[in-house]
Amino acid sequence: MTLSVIVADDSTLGRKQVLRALPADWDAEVRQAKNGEETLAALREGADLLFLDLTMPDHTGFDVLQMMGDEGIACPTFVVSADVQPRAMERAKELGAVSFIEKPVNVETLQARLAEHGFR
Amino acid sequence: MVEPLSEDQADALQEVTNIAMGRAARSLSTLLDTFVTLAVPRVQLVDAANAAEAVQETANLPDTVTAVRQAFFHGLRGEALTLFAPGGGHNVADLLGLDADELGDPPEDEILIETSNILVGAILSGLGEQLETQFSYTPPSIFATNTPMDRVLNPDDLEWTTALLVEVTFTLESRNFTCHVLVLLAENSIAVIRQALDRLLEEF
Repeated sequence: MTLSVIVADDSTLGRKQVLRALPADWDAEVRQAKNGEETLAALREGADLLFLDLTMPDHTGFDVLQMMGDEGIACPTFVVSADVQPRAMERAKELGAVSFIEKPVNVETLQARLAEHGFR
Repeated sequence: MVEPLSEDQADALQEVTNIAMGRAARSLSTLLDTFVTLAVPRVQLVDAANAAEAVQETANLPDTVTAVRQAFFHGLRGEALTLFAPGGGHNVADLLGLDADELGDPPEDEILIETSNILVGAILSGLGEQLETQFSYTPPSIFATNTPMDRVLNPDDLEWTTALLVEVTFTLESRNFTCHVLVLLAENSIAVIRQALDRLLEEF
């Protein structure tokens, strides 16, 4: 079955780095979101997996996670962030993120995390 | 006349800065044992004549700031300024559990210099590493104390006429404390940055 995936990052380069790291043979339909609002709109249409940046201009990734909780949107979320403070990782996990991937994205790491969580 | 960065170049520089800034925040957060809130970095081309105004507009600064300066040279030339609001050093000293009598004289300077050193060191090394450009930098020193921004960036004193300004803001969640790091890349380094960004963009 085709996976529905959202890649959310305000940076074009940031999104491209995630897109390039996705498995080439993956059966997935990928949508991109440039800010918090677009991410929430895409989530409301339904998704199986979200890659979420933390530092975005309108709503931060933390805000998006909070709003997902408030709206009852249960989409497994991989935070992909340059904010590598241990507290940022803890907070993202507390807010429901299932995985935290440091930027710049390492292809092997991202694919290993996907496998870990049964996404391939 | 320096041509502005293309949309892709500006986006890439912003993302590269984002990564460098995240590492700086990790260092500061470890030192102070508190969460550092980050904002999206800003990138713009400024002229010496309007640099102070441009910073004032985007950074929401107090009337006066204390600035710590580090110059960098070789592969890239320019300067980094860390701007603190009045009293900023006391907040940091307090988080570090330091008393005034344990510090040098004047007490705040040492704290501000060290804070700036950690942030600027992480940002510059992060930028250099990702852009595959090496450069050297001078040790930090107090550049201005409780000074209005138009005197910190006085056009008559600046060593460049146009600079690429990269601006990063760090806010401590547990305190009323914000500091800004300005990285000003002098005009003759902008071409170097442009090439480095194009190399990075070619990979994607």
